[in-house]
Amino acid sequence: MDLHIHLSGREIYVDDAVYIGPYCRLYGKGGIWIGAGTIFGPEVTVLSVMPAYEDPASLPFDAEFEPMPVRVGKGVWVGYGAMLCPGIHVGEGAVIGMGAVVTEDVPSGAVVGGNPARVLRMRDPEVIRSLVREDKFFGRDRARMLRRRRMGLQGIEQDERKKAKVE
Amino acid sequence: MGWFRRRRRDKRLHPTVVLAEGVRIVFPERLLLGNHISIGRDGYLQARGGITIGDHSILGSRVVVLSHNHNYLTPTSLPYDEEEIGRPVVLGRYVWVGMGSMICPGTTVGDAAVVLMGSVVTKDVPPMAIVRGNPATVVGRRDEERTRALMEKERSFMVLHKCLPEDV
Repeated sequence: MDLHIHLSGREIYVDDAVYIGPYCRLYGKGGIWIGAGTIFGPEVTVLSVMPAYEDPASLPFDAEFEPMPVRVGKGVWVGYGAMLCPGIHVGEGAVIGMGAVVTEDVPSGAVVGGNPARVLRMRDPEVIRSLVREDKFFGRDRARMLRRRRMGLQGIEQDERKKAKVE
Repeated sequence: MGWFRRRRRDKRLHPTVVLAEGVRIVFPERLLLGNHISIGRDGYLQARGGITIGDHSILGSRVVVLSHNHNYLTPTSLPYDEEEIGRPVVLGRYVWVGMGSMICPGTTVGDAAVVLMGSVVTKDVPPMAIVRGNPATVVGRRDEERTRALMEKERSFMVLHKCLPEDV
Protein backbone atom coordinates (compact mmCIF):
# COMPACT_ATOMS: atom_id res chain seq x y z
CA MET A 1 0.00 0.00 0.00
CA ASP A 2 1.12 3.49 -0.76
CA LEU A 3 0.72 6.77 1.10
CA HIS A 4 -2.43 8.80 1.83
CA ILE A 5 -4.94 5.98 1.40
CA HIS A 6 -8.34 6.69 2.87
CA LEU A 7 -10.06 3.57 4.19
CA SER A 8 -13.39 3.47 5.96
CA GLY A 9 -15.64 0.64 7.14
CA ARG A 10 -14.54 -2.66 8.56
CA GLU A 11 -15.23 -4.96 5.70
CA ILE A 12 -12.31 -4.58 3.34
CA TYR A 13 -10.73 -7.94 2.50
CA VAL A 14 -7.50 -7.79 0.54
CA ASP A 15 -5.74 -10.87 -0.82
CA ASP A 16 -1.95 -11.08 -1.14
CA ALA A 17 0.29 -9.40 -3.76
CA VAL A 18 -2.13 -6.49 -4.04
CA TYR A 19 -0.89 -2.94 -4.65
CA ILE A 20 -3.06 0.05 -3.80
CA GLY A 21 -1.77 3.38 -5.10
CA PRO A 22 -1.59 6.78 -3.40
CA TYR A 23 -4.74 8.82 -2.65
CA CYS A 24 -7.05 5.81 -3.11
CA ARG A 25 -10.36 5.91 -1.27
CA LEU A 26 -12.03 2.65 -0.28
CA TYR A 27 -15.37 2.99 1.52
CA GLY A 28 -15.80 -0.55 2.77
CA LYS A 29 -18.99 -0.40 4.82
CA GLY A 30 -20.81 -2.87 2.59
CA GLY A 31 -17.82 -5.13 1.92
CA ILE A 32 -14.99 -4.92 -0.58
CA TRP A 33 -13.16 -8.04 -1.70
CA ILE A 34 -9.93 -7.59 -3.67
CA GLY A 35 -8.37 -10.64 -5.32
CA ALA A 36 -4.69 -11.60 -5.45
CA GLY A 37 -2.33 -9.71 -7.73
CA THR A 38 -4.66 -6.78 -8.33
CA ILE A 39 -3.11 -3.35 -8.90
CA PHE A 40 -4.97 -0.13 -8.11
CA GLY A 41 -3.52 3.04 -9.62
CA PRO A 42 -3.56 6.39 -7.80
CA GLU A 43 -6.80 8.14 -6.77
CA VAL A 44 -9.09 5.15 -7.32
CA THR A 45 -12.44 5.36 -5.51
CA VAL A 46 -14.51 2.31 -4.49
CA LEU A 47 -17.94 2.66 -2.85
CA SER A 48 -19.86 -0.25 -1.35
CA VAL A 49 -23.02 1.19 0.21
CA MET A 50 -26.02 2.84 -1.37
CA PRO A 51 -28.19 5.08 0.82
CA ALA A 52 -31.92 4.42 0.47
CA TYR A 53 -32.91 7.55 -1.41
CA GLU A 54 -36.16 6.22 -2.83
CA ASP A 55 -39.00 6.73 -0.36
CA PRO A 56 -36.72 7.87 2.49
CA ALA A 57 -37.65 9.05 5.99
CA SER A 58 -35.51 12.15 5.54
CA LEU A 59 -34.04 14.08 2.64
CA PRO A 60 -31.91 13.61 0.61
CA PHE A 61 -31.63 10.11 2.07
CA ASP A 62 -32.10 8.45 5.43
CA ALA A 63 -29.84 6.54 7.79
CA GLU A 64 -30.47 3.15 6.21
CA PHE A 65 -27.53 2.23 4.05
CA GLU A 66 -28.01 -0.75 1.81
CA PRO A 67 -24.80 -2.79 1.68
CA MET A 68 -23.82 -3.54 -1.91
CA PRO A 69 -20.57 -5.51 -1.82
CA VAL A 70 -17.94 -4.92 -4.50
CA ARG A 71 -15.88 -7.89 -5.65
CA VAL A 72 -12.69 -7.36 -7.63
CA GLY A 73 -11.22 -10.53 -9.13
CA LYS A 74 -7.62 -11.66 -9.40
CA GLY A 75 -5.03 -9.83 -11.49
CA VAL A 76 -7.15 -6.77 -12.24
CA TRP A 77 -5.57 -3.44 -13.18
CA VAL A 78 -7.56 -0.36 -12.22
CA GLY A 79 -6.18 2.77 -13.90
CA TYR A 80 -5.63 6.29 -12.55
CA GLY A 81 -8.69 7.96 -11.05
CA ALA A 82 -11.21 5.22 -11.90
CA MET A 83 -14.36 4.82 -9.79
CA LEU A 84 -16.17 1.58 -8.94
CA CYS A 85 -19.86 1.97 -8.09
CA PRO A 86 -21.57 -0.09 -5.34
CA GLY A 87 -22.52 -3.69 -6.02
CA ILE A 88 -20.38 -4.46 -9.05
CA HIS A 89 -18.25 -7.48 -9.80
CA VAL A 90 -15.01 -7.13 -11.76
CA GLY A 91 -13.87 -10.35 -13.42
CA GLU A 92 -10.38 -11.85 -13.41
CA GLY A 93 -7.71 -10.10 -15.47
CA ALA A 94 -9.88 -7.12 -16.40
CA VAL A 95 -8.36 -3.72 -17.18
CA ILE A 96 -10.19 -0.54 -16.19
CA GLY A 97 -8.99 2.53 -18.05
CA MET A 98 -8.08 5.86 -16.47
CA GLY A 99 -10.99 7.99 -15.31
CA ALA A 100 -13.56 5.27 -16.02
CA VAL A 101 -16.76 5.13 -13.96
CA VAL A 102 -17.75 1.46 -13.69
CA THR A 103 -21.50 1.12 -13.15
CA GLU A 104 -22.07 -2.46 -14.32
CA ASP A 105 -20.35 -5.81 -13.92
CA VAL A 106 -17.12 -6.19 -15.89
CA PRO A 107 -16.62 -9.60 -17.53
CA SER A 108 -13.36 -11.47 -17.09
CA GLY A 109 -10.55 -10.17 -19.32
CA ALA A 110 -12.43 -7.10 -20.57
CA VAL A 111 -10.74 -3.75 -21.17
CA VAL A 112 -13.22 -1.03 -20.21
CA GLY A 113 -13.20 2.76 -20.23
CA GLY A 114 -15.39 5.88 -20.31
CA ASN A 115 -18.30 7.16 -18.25
CA PRO A 116 -20.32 4.96 -17.97
CA ALA A 117 -17.67 2.32 -18.67
CA ARG A 118 -18.05 0.34 -21.88
CA VAL A 119 -16.10 -2.70 -23.08
CA LEU A 120 -13.42 -1.57 -25.53
CA ARG A 121 -11.83 -4.93 -26.23
CA MET A 122 -11.32 -8.38 -24.75
CA ARG A 123 -8.13 -10.11 -23.75
CA ASP A 124 -7.49 -13.75 -24.56
CA PRO A 125 -9.47 -15.70 -21.88
CA GLU A 126 -7.23 -18.78 -22.25
CA VAL A 127 -4.11 -16.77 -21.34
CA ILE A 128 -5.80 -15.22 -18.30
CA ARG A 129 -7.06 -18.57 -17.08
CA SER A 130 -3.62 -20.16 -17.35
CA LEU A 131 -1.90 -17.19 -15.66
CA VAL A 132 -4.33 -17.27 -12.74
CA ARG A 133 -3.92 -21.04 -12.44
CA GLU A 134 -0.12 -20.74 -12.41
CA ASP A 135 -0.28 -17.83 -9.91
CA LYS A 136 1.76 -15.53 -12.13
CA PHE A 137 1.03 -12.05 -10.84
CA PHE A 138 3.15 -8.99 -11.39
CA GLY A 139 2.64 -7.89 -7.79
CA ARG A 140 3.94 -11.25 -6.52
CA ASP A 141 7.52 -10.08 -6.75
CA ARG A 142 7.62 -7.06 -4.47
CA ALA A 143 11.33 -6.47 -5.05
CA ARG A 144 10.82 -6.43 -8.79
CA MET A 145 8.01 -3.91 -8.44
CA LEU A 146 10.13 -1.54 -6.38
CA ARG A 147 13.04 -1.90 -8.78
CA ARG A 148 10.76 -1.07 -11.66
CA ARG A 149 9.71 2.13 -9.89
CA ARG A 150 13.28 3.26 -9.38
CA MET A 151 14.45 2.31 -12.84
CA GLY A 152 11.44 3.45 -14.86
CA LEU A 153 13.33 6.01 -16.89
CA GLN A 154 16.28 3.76 -17.53
CA GLY A 155 13.92 1.01 -18.60
CA ILE A 156 12.37 3.23 -21.23
CA GLU A 157 15.73 4.28 -22.59
CA GLN A 158 16.71 0.63 -22.89
CA ASP A 159 13.46 -0.02 -24.72
CA GLU A 160 14.17 2.78 -27.15
CA ARG A 161 17.62 1.40 -27.80
CA LYS A 162 16.14 -2.04 -28.38
CA LYS A 163 13.58 -0.64 -30.81
CA ALA A 164 16.23 1.36 -32.64
CA LYS A 165 18.27 -1.81 -33.09
CA VAL A 166 15.25 -3.65 -34.47
CA GLU A 167 14.55 -0.89 -36.95
CA MET B 1 7.28 21.54 -4.97
CA GLY B 2 10.79 20.80 -3.83
CA TRP B 3 11.83 20.23 -7.36
CA PHE B 4 10.09 23.41 -8.44
CA ARG B 5 11.96 25.53 -5.89
CA ARG B 6 15.27 24.01 -6.88
CA ARG B 7 14.51 24.61 -10.53
CA ARG B 8 13.55 28.19 -9.79
CA ARG B 9 16.94 28.73 -8.23
CA ASP B 10 18.61 27.03 -11.18
CA LYS B 11 16.92 29.47 -13.58
CA ARG B 12 16.30 26.55 -15.89
CA LEU B 13 12.55 26.98 -15.63
CA HIS B 14 11.39 30.07 -17.47
CA PRO B 15 10.49 32.84 -14.96
CA THR B 16 7.03 33.23 -16.50
CA VAL B 17 5.92 29.67 -15.67
CA VAL B 18 3.42 29.56 -12.80
CA LEU B 19 3.19 26.29 -10.85
CA ALA B 20 0.54 26.27 -8.10
CA GLU B 21 0.81 24.47 -4.79
CA GLY B 22 0.77 20.67 -4.65
CA VAL B 23 1.74 19.98 -8.26
CA ARG B 24 3.44 16.60 -8.46
CA ILE B 25 5.86 16.05 -11.30
CA VAL B 26 7.43 12.65 -11.87
CA PHE B 27 10.59 12.55 -14.01
CA PRO B 28 10.82 16.38 -14.35
CA GLU B 29 13.83 16.03 -16.65
CA ARG B 30 11.47 14.70 -19.32
CA LEU B 31 8.99 17.56 -18.98
CA LEU B 32 9.41 20.33 -21.54
CA LEU B 33 7.65 23.56 -20.63
CA GLY B 34 7.36 26.67 -22.79
CA ASN B 35 6.89 30.23 -21.56
CA HIS B 36 3.85 31.81 -19.85
CA ILE B 37 2.37 28.52 -18.64
CA SER B 38 0.13 28.07 -15.62
CA ILE B 39 -0.45 24.70 -13.91
CA GLY B 40 -3.19 24.61 -11.25
CA ARG B 41 -3.29 23.11 -7.79
CA ASP B 42 -2.74 19.41 -7.12
CA GLY B 43 -1.89 18.58 -10.71
CA TYR B 44 -0.11 15.35 -11.52
CA LEU B 45 2.30 15.19 -14.44
CA GLN B 46 3.77 11.74 -15.00
CA ALA B 47 6.50 12.60 -17.51
CA ARG B 48 8.06 9.16 -17.71
CA GLY B 49 7.44 8.97 -21.45
CA GLY B 50 7.88 12.71 -22.09
CA ILE B 51 5.44 15.63 -21.86
CA THR B 52 5.67 18.82 -23.91
CA ILE B 53 3.54 21.84 -23.06
CA GLY B 54 3.51 24.77 -25.48
CA ASP B 55 3.64 28.50 -24.72
CA HIS B 56 0.69 30.36 -23.11
CA SER B 57 -1.14 27.17 -22.09
CA ILE B 58 -3.24 27.09 -18.92
CA LEU B 59 -3.92 23.88 -16.99
CA GLY B 60 -6.61 24.01 -14.28
CA SER B 61 -6.60 22.36 -10.89
CA ARG B 62 -6.20 18.60 -10.48
CA VAL B 63 -5.26 18.00 -14.10
CA VAL B 64 -3.64 14.62 -14.68
CA VAL B 65 -1.30 13.96 -17.59
CA LEU B 66 0.11 10.45 -17.99
CA SER B 67 2.73 9.58 -20.61
CA HIS B 68 3.42 5.88 -20.32
CA ASN B 69 1.38 2.73 -20.52
CA HIS B 70 1.86 -0.78 -19.19
CA ASN B 71 1.94 -3.81 -21.42
CA TYR B 72 -1.27 -5.52 -20.27
CA LEU B 73 -1.59 -7.83 -23.28
CA THR B 74 1.37 -9.83 -22.04
CA PRO B 75 1.36 -13.61 -21.63
CA THR B 76 3.80 -13.56 -18.68
CA SER B 77 1.95 -12.05 -15.70
CA LEU B 78 -1.26 -10.40 -14.52
CA PRO B 79 -2.37 -7.60 -14.73
CA TYR B 80 0.70 -6.39 -16.60
CA ASP B 81 4.46 -7.02 -16.76
CA GLU B 82 7.65 -5.01 -16.24
CA GLU B 83 7.63 -3.41 -19.65
CA GLU B 84 6.74 0.27 -19.75
CA ILE B 85 5.70 1.73 -23.05
CA GLY B 86 6.64 5.40 -23.24
CA ARG B 87 3.98 7.32 -25.16
CA PRO B 88 4.77 11.03 -25.23
CA VAL B 89 2.05 13.63 -24.74
CA VAL B 90 2.17 16.96 -26.57
CA LEU B 91 0.01 19.92 -25.55
CA GLY B 92 0.10 22.72 -28.11
CA ARG B 93 0.21 26.48 -27.58
CA TYR B 94 -2.68 28.49 -26.10
CA VAL B 95 -4.33 25.30 -24.82
CA TRP B 96 -6.78 25.47 -21.94
CA VAL B 97 -7.29 22.25 -19.97
CA GLY B 98 -10.22 22.50 -17.54
CA MET B 99 -10.32 21.44 -13.93
CA GLY B 100 -10.02 17.73 -13.17
CA SER B 101 -9.35 16.65 -16.75
CA MET B 102 -7.14 13.73 -17.62
CA ILE B 103 -4.89 13.39 -20.65
CA CYS B 104 -4.19 9.79 -21.66
CA PRO B 105 -0.77 8.62 -22.87
CA GLY B 106 0.15 9.22 -26.50
CA THR B 107 -2.30 12.01 -27.23
CA THR B 108 -1.68 15.37 -28.88
CA VAL B 109 -3.78 18.42 -28.10
CA GLY B 110 -3.72 20.98 -30.90
CA ASP B 111 -3.05 24.74 -30.62
CA ALA B 112 -5.74 26.85 -28.94
CA ALA B 113 -7.88 23.81 -28.10
CA VAL B 114 -10.16 23.80 -25.06
CA VAL B 115 -10.61 20.69 -22.90
CA LEU B 116 -13.68 21.22 -20.71
CA MET B 117 -13.93 20.26 -17.06
CA GLY B 118 -13.55 16.61 -16.08
CA SER B 119 -12.88 15.33 -19.59
CA VAL B 120 -10.79 12.27 -20.29
CA VAL B 121 -8.84 12.85 -23.51
CA THR B 122 -8.15 9.50 -25.14
CA LYS B 123 -7.58 10.59 -28.75
CA ASP B 124 -5.83 13.47 -30.47
CA VAL B 125 -7.63 16.81 -30.22
CA PRO B 126 -7.51 18.92 -33.41
CA PRO B 127 -6.39 22.56 -33.17
CA MET B 128 -9.01 25.08 -31.97
CA ALA B 129 -11.48 22.30 -31.06
CA ILE B 130 -13.55 22.31 -27.88
CA VAL B 131 -13.88 18.84 -26.35
CA ARG B 132 -15.64 17.43 -23.33
CA GLY B 133 -16.81 14.17 -21.74
CA ASN B 134 -15.38 10.78 -20.99
CA PRO B 135 -14.13 9.76 -23.53
CA ALA B 136 -13.70 13.31 -24.84
CA THR B 137 -15.60 14.24 -28.02
CA VAL B 138 -15.53 17.42 -30.05
CA VAL B 139 -18.50 19.65 -29.14
CA GLY B 140 -17.47 22.89 -30.79
CA ARG B 141 -14.81 24.89 -32.50
CA ARG B 142 -13.23 28.28 -31.98
CA ASP B 143 -13.57 30.96 -34.63
CA GLU B 144 -10.55 30.18 -36.76
CA GLU B 145 -9.68 33.62 -38.15
CA ARG B 146 -10.03 35.43 -34.86
CA THR B 147 -8.08 32.81 -32.96
CA ARG B 148 -5.32 32.85 -35.52
CA ALA B 149 -5.12 36.64 -35.36
CA LEU B 150 -4.89 36.51 -31.56
CA MET B 151 -2.18 33.87 -31.73
CA GLU B 152 -0.15 35.94 -34.19
CA LYS B 153 -0.32 38.97 -31.91
CA GLU B 154 0.53 36.80 -28.86
CA ARG B 155 -2.50 38.07 -27.02
CA SER B 156 -2.70 35.44 -24.31
CA PHE B 157 -4.28 35.68 -20.87
CA MET B 158 -1.00 35.01 -19.15
CA VAL B 159 0.75 37.85 -20.97
CA LEU B 160 -2.04 40.44 -20.86
CA HIS B 161 -2.67 39.97 -17.14
CA LYS B 162 1.03 39.66 -16.34
CA CYS B 163 0.58 36.41 -14.38
CA LEU B 164 3.89 35.71 -12.69
CA PRO B 165 4.86 33.20 -10.00
CA GLU B 166 5.09 35.89 -7.31
CA ASP B 167 1.33 36.58 -7.56
CA VAL B 168 0.27 33.01 -6.71
